[in-house]
Amino acid sequence: MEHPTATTDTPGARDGTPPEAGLRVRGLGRDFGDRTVVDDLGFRLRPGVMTGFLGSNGAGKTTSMRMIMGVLEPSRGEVLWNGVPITGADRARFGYMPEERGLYPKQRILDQLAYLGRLRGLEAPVAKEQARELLDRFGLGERTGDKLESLSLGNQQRVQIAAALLHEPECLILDEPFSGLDPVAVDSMVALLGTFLRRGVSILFSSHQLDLVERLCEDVVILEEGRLAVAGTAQELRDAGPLRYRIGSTRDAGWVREVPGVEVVDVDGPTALVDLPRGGETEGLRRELMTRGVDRGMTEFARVQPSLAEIYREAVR
Amino acid sequence: MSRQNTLEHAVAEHPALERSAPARSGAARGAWRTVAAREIVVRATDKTFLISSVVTVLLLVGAAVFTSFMGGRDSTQTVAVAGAAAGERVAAASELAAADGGDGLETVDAADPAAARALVADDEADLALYEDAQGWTLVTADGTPGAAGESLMQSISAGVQAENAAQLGVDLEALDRGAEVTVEAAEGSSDGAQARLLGIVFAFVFYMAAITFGMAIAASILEEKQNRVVEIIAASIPVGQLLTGKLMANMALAFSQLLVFGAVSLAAATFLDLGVNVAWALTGIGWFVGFFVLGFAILAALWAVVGAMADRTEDMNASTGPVVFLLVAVLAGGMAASGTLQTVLSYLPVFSSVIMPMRLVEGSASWWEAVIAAAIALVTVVLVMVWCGRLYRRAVMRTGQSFTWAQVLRRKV
Repeated sequence: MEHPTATTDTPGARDGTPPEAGLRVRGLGRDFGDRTVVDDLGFRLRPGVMTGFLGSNGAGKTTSMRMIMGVLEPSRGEVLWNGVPITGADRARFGYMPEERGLYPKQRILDQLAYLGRLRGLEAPVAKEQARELLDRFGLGERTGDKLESLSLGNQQRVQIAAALLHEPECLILDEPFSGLDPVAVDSMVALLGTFLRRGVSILFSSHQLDLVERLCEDVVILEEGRLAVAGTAQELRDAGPLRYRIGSTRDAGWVREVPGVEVVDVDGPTALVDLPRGGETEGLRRELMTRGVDRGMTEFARVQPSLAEIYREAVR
Repeated sequence: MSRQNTLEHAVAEHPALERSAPARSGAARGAWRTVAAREIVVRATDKTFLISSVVTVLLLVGAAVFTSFMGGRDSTQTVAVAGAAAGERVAAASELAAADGGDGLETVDAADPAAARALVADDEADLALYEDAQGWTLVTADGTPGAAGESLMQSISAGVQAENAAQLGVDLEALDRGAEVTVEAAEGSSDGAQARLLGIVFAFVFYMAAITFGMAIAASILEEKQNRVVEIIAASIPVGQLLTGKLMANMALAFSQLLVFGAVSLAAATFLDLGVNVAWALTGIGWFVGFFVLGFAILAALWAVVGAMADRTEDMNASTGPVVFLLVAVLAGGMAASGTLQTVLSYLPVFSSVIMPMRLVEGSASWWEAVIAAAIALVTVVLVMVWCGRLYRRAVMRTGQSFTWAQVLRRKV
């Protein structure tokens, strides 16, 4: 099967957004002693687009996110915001949710959020007001004076999310934001993120839940052992895969093997998977398959696109 | 259907989220102020801190009251007198005692010596005094004169001598010339004992403040590390600002606490009339406060590193060792050092915070020596802050392992 190649690191360059807008990472690398954790990483986050950040544990996702947020100094490379090297002031306008959660357990949640807002440059009364509204929206309006540790884990998670969204960020960097959330909470989080997308905020989030990434992300970046394996829009990645068709029949589908030029991937009783070559013969082969199939009780002839899970597994193989 | 449309129709609008970006205040350079403000509020409203402060104030007042009570035990003594001459003697003695700042003597008249004795035996008078054919007799409950009795005896002897001299035609003044003996203290100031006491107070106050605030700093830093709060903060402001804010807040709190305790102690001492020379004490305390700030700054930075080096609370105990050792050494030096050792220590940073003020109140150091010691301490503060700041930044983000001082000093961090 054709390995989906790394497409240009400016996915969707055709969609009209200026190439300099948003976050761009170039040649980013980080060493810890003599161990290279991230090397030559480059990708771009489009404004108003959700980008999925995939990779196995230890691939360097968290380190990359920390470098973007300035929590770690890169050993090499640069992080650009709207075309120029990113500054502390820019980062203060980002929302960040680190992989390991935590806030002050013994402090009241409203006070904590207001404090974090002030650290990001909001005026004190504004910070408090924003915090109150967000907590209200999360259903914690009655509990603003409670200590964090007195909340359930799910609610603590919501406070954590609020901390990242409080100051109406221009870019969101979220490390495993959906881990530990039940499906209803996931949905409400997705809805919330949607409001930010509509305002042109770019969102980068990492997750191991590939079905979620498939559902939500327009762009995908896959890391493997600290290096970029794949970057592009989800659609481009799917299209780059093989031209695969599933043929369903009332009888045995073994006859597909007899069609010249067709690569048979799998035959399982009445169902068969075949890959067609790209190029001039595609039309002809498709017609050939359909003609033969009609005579042999064909019930289904459909294009199959690889799922993100398959793309991912292929990329990190 | 594009991704954005699916998300859109699932959302219920919240008006707040539709606003444009809200007003933002100044740059991240002032962020330490926000951090410091929070640290102060959190600490000042912490029950343990408040209770311990109140308890200390009560202890200080209690100590003053106790001292006053002990000192005032020499209450007015009652003397049973038989005969007019005895009454006069007591009156004279009482005046002398009052002039010296001691307590006066009260008289009770008795008909005759036997009655006077009876009054003492019955515990209605502390002393009895009468003159008979053999001379003067002083009667007390257990036969020892006591302080009041001694002064009476002196007064009587002096009075009789004066009479005799007059009768013999001897000039009493000429007789007494050169017989007076003055008593002086070996070291410069006459407030020797008080100076020693004040010095010991300095040593203890410094030690207690450094330990309690230091532990609080380390614990707070470790908590932020364990709860990963430090990562969120590090994404908003430079991590160095976090450290600066913390240190400033704790120094401000320690300083205010010191002022409050000092003011309470002086007020109590003055109010209860403990005989403390307030002006002299204030100068000494002034020097101490100045040196305290310098020494405390160094220690606070070290404690911050202790907190950042650890990964869990259990690990922190190991790294507190060297810092506590230093503090104990300072305390011991303050209590026991003398002579050359004391002089040398009074210039060494951290030690100087306790020992230089001690030498100043004892009068064995002059102001320019203090200035030199302060300058040395100031330079040390700057160097330590830079070094600890670097260590803090490196250690606070690393989780999963704790560091030891050995690793730190060998530059493995």
